[in-house]
Amino acid sequence: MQTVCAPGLVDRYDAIPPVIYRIMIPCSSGKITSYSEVSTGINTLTLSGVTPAVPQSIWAPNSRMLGVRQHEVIPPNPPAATDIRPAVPGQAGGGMSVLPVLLITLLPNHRIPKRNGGTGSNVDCWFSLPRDVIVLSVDLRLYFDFGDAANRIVHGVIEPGLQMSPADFSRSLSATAASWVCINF
Amino acid sequence: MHTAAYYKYVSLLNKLKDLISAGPDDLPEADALRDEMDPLWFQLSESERAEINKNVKLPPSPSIER
Repeated sequence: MQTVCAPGLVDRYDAIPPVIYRIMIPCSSGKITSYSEVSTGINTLTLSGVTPAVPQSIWAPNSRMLGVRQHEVIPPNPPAATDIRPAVPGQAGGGMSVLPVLLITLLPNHRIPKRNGGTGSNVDCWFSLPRDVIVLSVDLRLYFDFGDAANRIVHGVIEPGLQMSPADFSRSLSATAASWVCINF
Repeated sequence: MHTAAYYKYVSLLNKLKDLISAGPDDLPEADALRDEMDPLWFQLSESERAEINKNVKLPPSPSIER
């Protein structure tokens, strides 16, 4: 589905075609692994065959996976059999957080791996995803909800493009796993 | 002059540093602290975020920012 910016915000990107970024636990050959395990002895810019870890259930146990936790959707903590929905314009997004560009002033220190000078986990890897993967999907959308002082987008979410069950949303997010590119850094 | 969010963020950051310096960096306790820090990050000013991230290295930029 489409890419949407909250009212008044200006889009920006740092790659052509545009991509989004997220730091997540890596998975290789169907097993959860770590950056050191998948990168040892490899000098390429990207790590082939490495995908983000997918939660075992509808809700992710932490924000280091390809998934969302119950409080991150709209409505938050939905009761059983309640559908979730995309944000309305101007509302904070309900979905999985992503960043539109790699900038020192955007990335939360506590999510950046220790090896890169942050206080995040060294297990985690940097991943990028072409925006087109979301644009071409049937039921996901990319919504940039916050901007900086110059109204340039600084944060976005991959959220349901329409009202759907949490299980369907989880399945749709998981279906993007193979399209994420693991950056060797 | 820093924002109130800055002082709270730095306090949690120091707790996180202490926790992960003593052992594994992916314990549930560390993730819980990180979750608490998430909403504070975008309340910080751009200069505060730059100051906190002064030692951070980013992957090579794919191309020129638009």
